[in-house]
Amino acid sequence: MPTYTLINSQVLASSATSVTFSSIPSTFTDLVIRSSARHNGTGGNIWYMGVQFNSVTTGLYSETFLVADMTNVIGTNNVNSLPFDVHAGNLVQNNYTANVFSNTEMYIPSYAGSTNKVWSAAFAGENDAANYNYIGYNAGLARTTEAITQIILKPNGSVGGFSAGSSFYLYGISKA
Amino acid sequence: MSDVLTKVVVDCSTGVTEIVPLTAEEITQREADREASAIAQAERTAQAEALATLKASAKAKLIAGEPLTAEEADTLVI
Repeated sequence: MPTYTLINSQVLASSATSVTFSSIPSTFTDLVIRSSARHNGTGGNIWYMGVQFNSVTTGLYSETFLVADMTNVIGTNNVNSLPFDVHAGNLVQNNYTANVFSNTEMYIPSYAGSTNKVWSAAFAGENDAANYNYIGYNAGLARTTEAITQIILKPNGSVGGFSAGSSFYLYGISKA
Repeated sequence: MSDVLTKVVVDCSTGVTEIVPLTAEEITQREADREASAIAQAERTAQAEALATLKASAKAKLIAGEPLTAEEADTLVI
């Protein structure tokens, strides 16, 4: 029977520019990251969360992502992106309803293998108001064949950081 | 948010969590990342706007019964 194991969790007591899970064990089959996060800035309508695997900092990331709000649906493909230019999650901005966070689940299959790494992410940006509620989905590719031992999460474009109270949970999935 | 920029780093093998101030180099890199991201976003926005313009032109020409350019036709043909 497959198992679902919490590897580590982080609930931020204060703002942070990024959250890093390092020395990730290679003993699982897949990884899942669940976050409930908020941006500590107030500009724009929606913030996204980028992801970096290991020390792969160059334009080796690609994605297809789809996001929808009350009136628009936007889909795009990005290739050769920097790690924190991908849209692997969503962050409510800090002037939205207090104590409301965006939810993301990111699935990373075969993270310890020797092929290029892929991921999928589903997210929903919440706001207790008529506008600025978002849903989205992202399918990504990182052209690195290294086993993933480190994952860095950071707001898109390295702008600002995560608010206090944002939470991040790293799970390992073991196949049956 | 405090004036000192910090990052959270957790070692999954030990469970030890550290709150680490960013180094000067990391702060410089953040600025570079921000600029690179803004440039990339501007390019994507320009491409999206160009595509929207082509689609609008293609639609208007279809309605008017005028011939489309190959670029305009590409926006409509699946």
